[in-house]
Amino acid sequence: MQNSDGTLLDIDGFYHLVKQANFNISDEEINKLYKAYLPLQKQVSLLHQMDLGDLPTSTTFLPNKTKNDTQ
Amino acid sequence: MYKHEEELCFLSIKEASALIRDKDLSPLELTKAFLNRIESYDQYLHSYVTVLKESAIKSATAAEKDIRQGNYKGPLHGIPIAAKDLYSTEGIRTTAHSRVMADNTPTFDSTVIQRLNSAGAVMLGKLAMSEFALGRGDEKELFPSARNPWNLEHLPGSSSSGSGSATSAGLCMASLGSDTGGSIRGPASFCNITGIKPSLGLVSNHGVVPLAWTLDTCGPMARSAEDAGMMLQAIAGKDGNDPATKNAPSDNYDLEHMDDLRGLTIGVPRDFFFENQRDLEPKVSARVNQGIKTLENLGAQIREVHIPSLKYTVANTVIMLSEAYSFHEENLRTRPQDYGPVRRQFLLGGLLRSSDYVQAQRARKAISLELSKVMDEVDILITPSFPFTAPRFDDRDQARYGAGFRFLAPFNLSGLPAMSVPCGFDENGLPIGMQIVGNFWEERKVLSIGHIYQQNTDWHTKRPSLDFPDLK
Repeated sequence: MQNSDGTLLDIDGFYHLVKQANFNISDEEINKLYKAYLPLQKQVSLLHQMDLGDLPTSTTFLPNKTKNDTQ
Repeated sequence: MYKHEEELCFLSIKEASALIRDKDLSPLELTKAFLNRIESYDQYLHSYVTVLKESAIKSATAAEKDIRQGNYKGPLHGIPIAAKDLYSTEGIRTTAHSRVMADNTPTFDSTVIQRLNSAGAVMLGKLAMSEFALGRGDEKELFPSARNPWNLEHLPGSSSSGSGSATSAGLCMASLGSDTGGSIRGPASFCNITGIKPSLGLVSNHGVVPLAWTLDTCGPMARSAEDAGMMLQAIAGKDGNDPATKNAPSDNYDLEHMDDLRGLTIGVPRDFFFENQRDLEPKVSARVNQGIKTLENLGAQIREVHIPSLKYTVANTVIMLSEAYSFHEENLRTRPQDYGPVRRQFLLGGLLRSSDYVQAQRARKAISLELSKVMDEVDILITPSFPFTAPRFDDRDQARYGAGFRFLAPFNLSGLPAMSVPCGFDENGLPIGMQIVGNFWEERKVLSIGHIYQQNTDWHTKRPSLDFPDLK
């Protein structure tokens, strides 16, 4: 629901995303959906920045990190 | 003894059940009083979508006969109640307030309805709600939106809007709601009643139209903590049809006898709920602080606690919308015209990524662990139920309204029991709620503290005037 670099989609990117999802909605509805998307996506971006500490589900141990990075 | 319908309809369950048990009150007379009241007032409140006049009279007649013959079933026998229209009811239309389910007539009762029937309760009808338990109600939905009995121009809260409205207005003695992000506690707060979201897994969801499977929680809405406990007693516990209840304790919810609150510690997360909250109305803050003072005066120790992860409560929205989309995906594509504005919210759920959902579940775990540590140090938490009182129907600031649920949703994520109790009114006469949160499975403590608070205040006894200008 966002660009691969984590930035928010602009209306064109969002339009393509919705078309890909095959929601079968009008352009007017896409515009309304975009207005609802923006505030939610800003919060979701913050959610991805959450420090999960030493939770078992933490991504601290991603394979592209060195041992020192995880300490 | 009770000549006026209003007196009958505002009896507590405890009072009414004692009278019924002692054969001093006829369940049929009581039920007819509620049906008359519904006929008089629900044209303004729109709290019911289906009134079960004939079957209610039949149930009440049967209850009366049973009791006369010495077959008293217990405290809910002959008590008139109502249910949010997402509880499946055999042979009775169950719509979730949506055209998508307008023709749905279940062939079975949900577990909770079964249990209330077994307890001898009289079902008055099915109650209005936000479509599929999301959003705030809209004129494009299947039925009119329920109105707030304290002011018809204001929301009764969502999504258990009819449950809040009817219970507050004396159109049922208690009701069933459901809570995925605050949908019992929000309407309870807006309508000046007591609503408890039990621990996740205490009450069966079998036969209840889902919003989000991992968050949905059924629970009672009543006019006091004591009455809510009596309802909970009937509906709680393991159910073979809902594996999520496999750890539910066989507890009883009779209130603990407490003369005061000495020895109890109350945690107040001021940083999240009171400080730097731009939408927290001063009157709400003042009334909840007064409520905390009342509990302190009863002997409780007050301790400020910090729960930094609460700022990630959006996790509840991500989980809710993702799960809701998966339930509605096919109908959203094939019957889009049958959805009201809630469709847009569901579509947003379809645009969330799997990594968003997983991250939300991680955040949920972190919030739950942090809350668990805090609950090891205190008995309960106290917070405002909502940052502001009921908005007007014509206030279309959906973002502001939705953000208000951040005070309620952390306890859906964590699964902890949480209850809203009345604690005062704003300058416009609109009710304010105070949230009491307990540790897992500690509903009895939450209810008992709510009860002692209500014994020492009278906010929960206030009734809406229902003085509608053109009421005949």
